[in-house]
Amino acid sequence: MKKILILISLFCCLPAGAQEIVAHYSALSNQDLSAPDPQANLWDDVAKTTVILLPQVVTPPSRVQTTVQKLNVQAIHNNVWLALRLTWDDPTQDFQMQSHHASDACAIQFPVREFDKTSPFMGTKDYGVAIYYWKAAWQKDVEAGFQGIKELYPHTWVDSYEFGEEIALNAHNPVSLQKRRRPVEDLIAAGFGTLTTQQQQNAEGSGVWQEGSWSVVIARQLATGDEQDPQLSVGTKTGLSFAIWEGSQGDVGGRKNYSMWVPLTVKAN
Amino acid sequence: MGDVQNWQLNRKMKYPYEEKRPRRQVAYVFDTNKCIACQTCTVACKTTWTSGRGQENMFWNNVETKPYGFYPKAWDVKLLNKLGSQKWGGTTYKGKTVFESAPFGERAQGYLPEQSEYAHPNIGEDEVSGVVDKGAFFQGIHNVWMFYLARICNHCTYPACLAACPRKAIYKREEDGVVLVDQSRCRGYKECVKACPYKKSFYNMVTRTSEKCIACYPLLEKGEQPRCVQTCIGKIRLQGWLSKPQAVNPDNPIDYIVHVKQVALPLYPQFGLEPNVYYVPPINVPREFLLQMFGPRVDKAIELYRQVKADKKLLAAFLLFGNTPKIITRFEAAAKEAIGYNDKGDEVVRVPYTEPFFQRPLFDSKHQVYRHNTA
Repeated sequence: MKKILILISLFCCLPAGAQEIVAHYSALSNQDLSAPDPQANLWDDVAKTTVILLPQVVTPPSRVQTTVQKLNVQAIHNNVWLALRLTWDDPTQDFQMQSHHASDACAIQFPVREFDKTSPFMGTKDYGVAIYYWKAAWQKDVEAGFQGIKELYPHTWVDSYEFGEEIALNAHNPVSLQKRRRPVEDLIAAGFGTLTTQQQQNAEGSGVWQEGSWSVVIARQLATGDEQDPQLSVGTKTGLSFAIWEGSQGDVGGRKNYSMWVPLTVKAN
Repeated sequence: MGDVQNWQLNRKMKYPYEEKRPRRQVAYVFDTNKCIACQTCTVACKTTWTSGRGQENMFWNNVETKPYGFYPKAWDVKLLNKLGSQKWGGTTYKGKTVFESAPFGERAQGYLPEQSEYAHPNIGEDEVSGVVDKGAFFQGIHNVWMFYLARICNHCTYPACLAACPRKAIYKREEDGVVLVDQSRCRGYKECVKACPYKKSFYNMVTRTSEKCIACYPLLEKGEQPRCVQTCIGKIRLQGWLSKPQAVNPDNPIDYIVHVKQVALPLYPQFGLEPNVYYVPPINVPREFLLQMFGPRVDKAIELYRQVKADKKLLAAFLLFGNTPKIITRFEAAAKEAIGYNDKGDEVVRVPYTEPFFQRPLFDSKHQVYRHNTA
């Protein structure tokens, strides 16, 4: 615990340096950012910030080495929606849900309160975080329907499921959703192991894998009206941090590549 | 990181949490010498708990033929290879447990099986250890061996699944020591699947959560033994409550067999989980194999088991197996019968040491038929 606190204080005190993300007002304000398209032309002119990723070694289970070293982040807003595009190199597209597979994924973390007092390591009890998490497997669910046994193993034969039950589904576990409308999940956390699905799901997103890289847009309204989200507005200065999971390397949960806080400014123009 | 006492290793060991034993611990004794691998337990469990979508290849209970049967494939030999030297000094384990040998960034030494490794749940069935020499079948003792190993979750005192879950979605119940995955909290990271050395935590690719044996806790809560125990036609199983090592009750049949007589032994105690399914070792299997699988107490256990007829109380404890659906918390070796009682003190089973013998005439004059079993 002491080690973690030292790390937190060390990284929280780091100057922002050259890294900064500025969300300008998009001239294409008629673009519907609530249905984001990672390949839309509007992203061509948006400045990219390169964010360096670190292997998660603060708490087990962890990664000894990064599986993705960096990502590019772009941000825009239209006074109502804030959209961030994350792009990173990944030679394999991993979205399958068999037991030995892991899905590619990414996440953006916001401090719920002052970002300079919030730990980038999933927050703390008093300074929590909101996380918007996109997963390739969910993208596949949205685009092609739920990946059930028949989709994963087309030649499967089963006599009967008559007496079977899907307990996690009955328990309303959000990871078990069979009809997923969006590939993004809104979460909160207040320390390691506390990740919890938000009661209201506001974020939207979409991801495309092409020629060895993922482009994922995650969008949320600046003012969501959801008390579990930090409320943003034009002029807000806060911080963001990021995580990337490389499915082919078994990245899942805490086995991830993460970044420290990167300052974010939502500019009026 | 806790420094916890593991009585099966006769020493303290590292574990991510402090020692906290439940009020009573669900425990089982399986007599491998009586198992015929009929798989009735497997089917009883399967139809009760794992016949849903995503559970097609999931067997919370399985029976595998040793030495070449595995479910999932090669589960134990893979981990034994990773664990390195597993030496014992007397009854004290000198090697490293899965927790003590965990690589950096891991809570336990382990591996995640491939999906295909679950595809053949009865692989190696009835395979013997080697080639039978020509004519050996007619010459008394065979030069090859095999035995059936029935396996369920061990509801360990120090579960690796629980230790590995970063979300604390796995918990051990204080009232009975049953280890459960909270199906509303699990996010399907499969850390438990990777960490459980017995590979008794499974990933369900439809619910996208991990699932495992629940010790039929709805039955336990009404004083009955689990389905796999109740349905065992070979009467190889007994489920009950194991007392803490310092509070052994010799009138509790599980305590008597496990703690007092030590005739039933944990499976791979060197993994360090203090598993709570105890096996009577197979008596006709090479000693080296059994030492690796059940630890250093194996010789004494076999010796005692061979003499069970001369030990009235031990015989009485064994006669309770498979003769009542109720959980026996106290037993008595009466003059001619073994008697079992539940926790309310009610008699729930009475088994004679010797079955009554009836001899009937060859010819049944009432039905005008001969009683014989040939056509």
